[in-house]
Amino acid sequence: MNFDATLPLLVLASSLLPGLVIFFLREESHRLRTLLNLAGAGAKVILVGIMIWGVFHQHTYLTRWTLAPGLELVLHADTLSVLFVSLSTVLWLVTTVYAIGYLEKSPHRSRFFGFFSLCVSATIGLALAGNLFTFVIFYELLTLATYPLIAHRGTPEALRSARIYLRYTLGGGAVLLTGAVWLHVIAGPNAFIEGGVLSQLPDEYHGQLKAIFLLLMIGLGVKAALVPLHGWLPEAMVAPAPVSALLHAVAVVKAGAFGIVRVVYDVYGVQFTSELGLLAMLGVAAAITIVYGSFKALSQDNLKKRLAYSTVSQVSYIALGTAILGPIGTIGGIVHLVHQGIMKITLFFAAGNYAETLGIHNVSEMNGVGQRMPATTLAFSIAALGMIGIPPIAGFISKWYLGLGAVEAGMAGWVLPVLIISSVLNAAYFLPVLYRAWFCRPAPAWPAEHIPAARYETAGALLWPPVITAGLALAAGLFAAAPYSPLEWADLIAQREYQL
Amino acid sequence: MNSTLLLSIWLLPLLLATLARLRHAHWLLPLATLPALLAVAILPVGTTVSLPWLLLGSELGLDETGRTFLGFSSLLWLIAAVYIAGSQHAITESGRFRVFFLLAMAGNLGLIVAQDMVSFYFGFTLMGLSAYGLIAPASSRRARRAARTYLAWTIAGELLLFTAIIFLAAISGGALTFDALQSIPRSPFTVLLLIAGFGIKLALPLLHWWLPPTYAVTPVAAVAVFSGVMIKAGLLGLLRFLPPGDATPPDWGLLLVLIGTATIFFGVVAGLLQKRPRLLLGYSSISKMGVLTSGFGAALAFPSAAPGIVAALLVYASHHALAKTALFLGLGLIECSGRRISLLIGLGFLAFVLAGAPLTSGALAKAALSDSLSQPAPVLVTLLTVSTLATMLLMVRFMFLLWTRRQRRILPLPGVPLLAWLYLVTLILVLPFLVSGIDRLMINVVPVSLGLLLGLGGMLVGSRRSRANVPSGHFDL
Amino acid sequence: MAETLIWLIAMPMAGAVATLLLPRQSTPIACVTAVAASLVAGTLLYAVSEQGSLSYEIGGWSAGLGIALRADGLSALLLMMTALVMLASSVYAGTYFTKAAARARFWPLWLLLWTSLNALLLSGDLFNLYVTLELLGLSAVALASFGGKFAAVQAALRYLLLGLLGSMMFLAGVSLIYAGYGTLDLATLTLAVEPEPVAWTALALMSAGLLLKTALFPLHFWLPPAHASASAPVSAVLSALVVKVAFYLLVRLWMDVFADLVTPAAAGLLGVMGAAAILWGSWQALRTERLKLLAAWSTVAQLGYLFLFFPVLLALPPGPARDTAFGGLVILALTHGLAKAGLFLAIGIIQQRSGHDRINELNGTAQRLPATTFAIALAGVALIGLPPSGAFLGKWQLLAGSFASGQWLWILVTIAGSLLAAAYIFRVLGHAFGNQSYPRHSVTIAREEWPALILTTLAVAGLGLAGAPVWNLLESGA
Repeated sequence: MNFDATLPLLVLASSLLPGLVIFFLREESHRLRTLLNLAGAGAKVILVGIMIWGVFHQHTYLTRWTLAPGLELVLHADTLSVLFVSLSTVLWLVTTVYAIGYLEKSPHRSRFFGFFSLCVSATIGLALAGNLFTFVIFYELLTLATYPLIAHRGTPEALRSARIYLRYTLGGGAVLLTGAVWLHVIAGPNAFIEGGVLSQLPDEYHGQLKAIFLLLMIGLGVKAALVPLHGWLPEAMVAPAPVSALLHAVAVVKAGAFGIVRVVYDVYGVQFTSELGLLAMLGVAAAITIVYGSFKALSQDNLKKRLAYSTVSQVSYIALGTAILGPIGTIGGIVHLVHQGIMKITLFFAAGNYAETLGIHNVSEMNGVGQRMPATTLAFSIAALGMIGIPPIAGFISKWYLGLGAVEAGMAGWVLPVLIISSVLNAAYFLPVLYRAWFCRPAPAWPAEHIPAARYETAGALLWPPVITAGLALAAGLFAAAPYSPLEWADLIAQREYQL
Repeated sequence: MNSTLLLSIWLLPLLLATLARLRHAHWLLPLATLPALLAVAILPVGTTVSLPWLLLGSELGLDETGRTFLGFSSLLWLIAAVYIAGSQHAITESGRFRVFFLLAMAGNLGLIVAQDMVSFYFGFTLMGLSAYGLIAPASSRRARRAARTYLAWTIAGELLLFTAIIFLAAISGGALTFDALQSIPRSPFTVLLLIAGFGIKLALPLLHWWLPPTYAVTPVAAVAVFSGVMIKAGLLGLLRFLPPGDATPPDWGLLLVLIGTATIFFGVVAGLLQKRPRLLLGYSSISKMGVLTSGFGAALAFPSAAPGIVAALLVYASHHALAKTALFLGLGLIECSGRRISLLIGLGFLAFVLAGAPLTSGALAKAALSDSLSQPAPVLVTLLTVSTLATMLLMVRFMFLLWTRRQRRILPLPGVPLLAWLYLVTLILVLPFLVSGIDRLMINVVPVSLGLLLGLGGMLVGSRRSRANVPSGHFDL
Repeated sequence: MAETLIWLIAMPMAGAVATLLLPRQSTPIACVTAVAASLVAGTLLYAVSEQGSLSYEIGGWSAGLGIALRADGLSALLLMMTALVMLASSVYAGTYFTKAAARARFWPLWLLLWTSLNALLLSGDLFNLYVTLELLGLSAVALASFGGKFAAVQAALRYLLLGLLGSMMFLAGVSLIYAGYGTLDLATLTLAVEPEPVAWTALALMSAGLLLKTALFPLHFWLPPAHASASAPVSAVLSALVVKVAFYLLVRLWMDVFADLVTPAAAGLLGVMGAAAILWGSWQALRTERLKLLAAWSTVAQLGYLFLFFPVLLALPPGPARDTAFGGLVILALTHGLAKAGLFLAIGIIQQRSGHDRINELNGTAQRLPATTFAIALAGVALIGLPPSGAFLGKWQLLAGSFASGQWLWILVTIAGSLLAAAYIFRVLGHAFGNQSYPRHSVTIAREEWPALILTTLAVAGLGLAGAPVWNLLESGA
């Protein structure tokens, strides 16, 4: 096997193998576990770096493995998968560091990091999936790997949330599976091909294709938290902060959104989807979700819950971008895949820091926290402003392209109002938090101060990750037009997608 | 070299903002304006720098308009910065205030040198949002409410602007520089969005609700930059986004003239009703923005005369910026250390300047504007004259309010702020004579004196009544 | 190579005799036998994949007179599964039964069961099949009652009676066939059989007997108590293998020998019964309080999936499409065999450690035994049919076949069954996340935990990721 054919496998293995080994490590072999985690994450960064370079220069990285007649496990690196893989890889590295700091001295760390690595492996597999069958496999694996992470704390509350999570995702998985099998029966192995292939099917299949699309969207919509399939996401916020970060920014929610992008662009083809009248349907669902999520976020006092509803809203920008016909909308949706990830992970890191350092869980307890934890709060602020769409932070770039794409596609009439309403609502639920943090006088004592201020405001492993990701969020917006930026990469994807 | 200098106009205030929380960082504030001042002094007009990697591909540059704006803006930021650095005000002392001051400065100076829509929008947003911190929302409940109102309007304005920019970008096929957009026809909807968006910044009537509460609670040095400098970003925005010429239908110019006229009188009438000097000055700013708006409308309506009108508008804007800042800073001196005759004399002079009395920069500005308007729209010249009279009335009222202000106790004047103020007043005194001959400055004699007389008369009547009604002389709103 | 066929029967039989004669050394003997027999099964699998189906006539007498052994792809795969499950369970049983005397009584029966399983899978004529079926039933009953608790004996007795009833019906069918066609050799019969009342009646009788033995709904009622009250290694083998070989016989009869007689209505009837089994079995598994009952009810449900394949296969055109779907059936059966055996072994460990198997009181135990809990989770993945287990591939084929033939009901049932399975599995797994402290090592009782873990891993990763050879084997060994 030559290198080009093994690279996708290596990228997958760089988190899978350490994860499997970690399961069998003794609880107190802290150093070895950390070493394995970081070595895996580091190796993945290097491998993905090679992959980015290669895909940019039109290399084909393809691993095939036959599972059954007509069913092949295909790992394939194209521009879209590389974008998602890079995002997961970088954020995994950061989150691993954060998780090591966060779970210091808490029980069951081997189990946690084992499943943590599995979760990322599933995400990577899903990103690299070269056909719908492979995608479904990793999609289900992701569900499995995430369940133990949500249930990790073992409290009745955590178990309840994990159960709700399962109920939604397994249900969604079953619907997705049904759709995938049906499509497989009609159209054969559905390799992901830029531009899609289904438009070549004769007209009498169009009815079935519409039904299948609906099934696929419901299946994917559960993870992407499209209203009304979003119920699990706010519940899942009981999980430890690194898990929330992973759920909201890297793995689960993203997997759903990524799947929507894949199905629309590389299975159906965006033109064909539009001809079937399905694109508008997706757009409406996304629009409803965006507005609804923001509205719900307004009334949450629990910080993580507010962030969770914000995710519900923000992730649907990706679906919205997909629903906008034309390269610019595509860029907007795809680039938001990355931007939302960086910004939301920052927010969750910061929320975790507040909880872990000072015992702050609610917005109402955040008065004056900016004085006690300036760096964390600064990171939080950058990410929150980015979510609102304030330039020069990454979120602005996403909104810009979504808006521009909508105008060019003649959909400005409803997309722009949605963007505006959502921005206003984002401001309405984020700015009061910032106000409390920076301008209010702190209460005489914090709810529960676990980590006293020493050299830094909190433990180093907790502080650096949000600072770094906030920096990335800023850089992604400020240097959006620079080479190798997420925007440029999304542009490349759109070019190849529309054969420009 | 040029590019470094242009870039550092933004970059230095931003970088210094990261240090501004340090304990003795007062003097970082004036330092941050140096690149801008230097750029005004040495950069030739027409310098541009392309930064294709920044944002969505940015272009910075210094054109004639930008240079004027940069000139008065950087000067006034400098003076306000020195004023703050030397004063001992509890709020402006705080590191947080300094950070926001520098951020707002970066945004303001940045949007002036921005030559593309996205950079402009970045600067505009940075300035608008950072100014929230200048209102010092934590100081009182009233301040908090005012700040919230300000923020809501600002965000609304930014979103309107964002939408407009999106439409412009879509029409232009992705071109973002103002140069490229020069001749692209604006759709009526876009024009409306732009007028509304910048109208909020200019505090046009019905879009002005944020202004009075904000001016009432903000530390005075910050109000000075609010009403002297930052408010002008609205005019610059109009000039940049709606260049007079083929791109904008002249009908919109007429509409703007009407809106501007309404604004002039709205500002004066509302100002006359105020009992707090700050608010009166605030409404006076609104009125002056009305002058600028109708001037801009005239430029749109008469594209052939546009270059002259725009040049005159620049003079007028500079004059108003200097005079209004000086008025607020002087008022600040009275507020912190008590009423003194010397300060009142200075403020009285500034009141005449603002009204456009002969031999002042006000007269110069009025002359420039009348000259450029006399050909295409003589009716506007008349309007200007009436506005001069009205402003004088307003200024008499202002001086009266100061005169009858309840005196608490006299404190020693802070040295550095006083010097900064005096420097500005001297500048205002001297500048017209450097720019123009005396004969051109001998105008406005009739409206100003008429306004003065009317004002004094009204004051006499009013003071008799108010003495009967308000025994304590407490004039808070 | 064909000698391997006889070795597969001779070896466990010799082991059974040896353990009977040397009770003191019975455990080492049994383990060596198990390893050797598994190696032979592996060899056979390899041979079939290389050379196609094999046959061997004992003593050189031709079919009809002597005993003929046959192995094609299907039987080779089932033999291999049998070997793996028996080997793992043997290792497990070596420490599970703590008393030496108990072990000495256990091994001869155990190896006899293995002998009869292998013989049944290798038999090529109906009479031998009847004999091995009877032998299998008896040794299974003896093992089920092993352990001596009253409930176990009671359940075993019922098991015995119903097993005998099934065997009698099967025998009746066999007699009819012999009367009608004068031969019992399957290969000969395949050519001779005609769609006529004799054949129909015979098939109906044999099928009824076998359905009773595979416990297809509504003939399932004996299974849960019998499987749940036996000792862990025995439950594993009963659930994974004993019901499975009866099903194997059904497949042979319906798909091969009497293929021409099968009508869509008959296959549909089996499908409906399978669907009912899935729903009812899963529902009962969800409701039960005890872990072993849960596993037993799950067997009832899982067997239902296998029967859903009958109408689907029949509706597909013969050729690659049907072969692919048939492979799905086989891989589903294999996965279930390995996973269910692993599940029962794992449950046995938990039951021994905590002294009970009540689901709601599992908290501490599940966490003290992470490897066992993990094995249960893997088995769960296979039972739900999630990727990457072999069951996922099987269910994919089932769904694909249903879509292709437009049989929407089976799709709904499959999906609903999978979701119910998820519900009962995660009801158990939820207990693995309490706040009890974690042991120093992941694996605490190596000889019991590893067999469970290996079986379930094979079911999930082995068959799921390396399952393609199953189809090749079925093709080359057809």
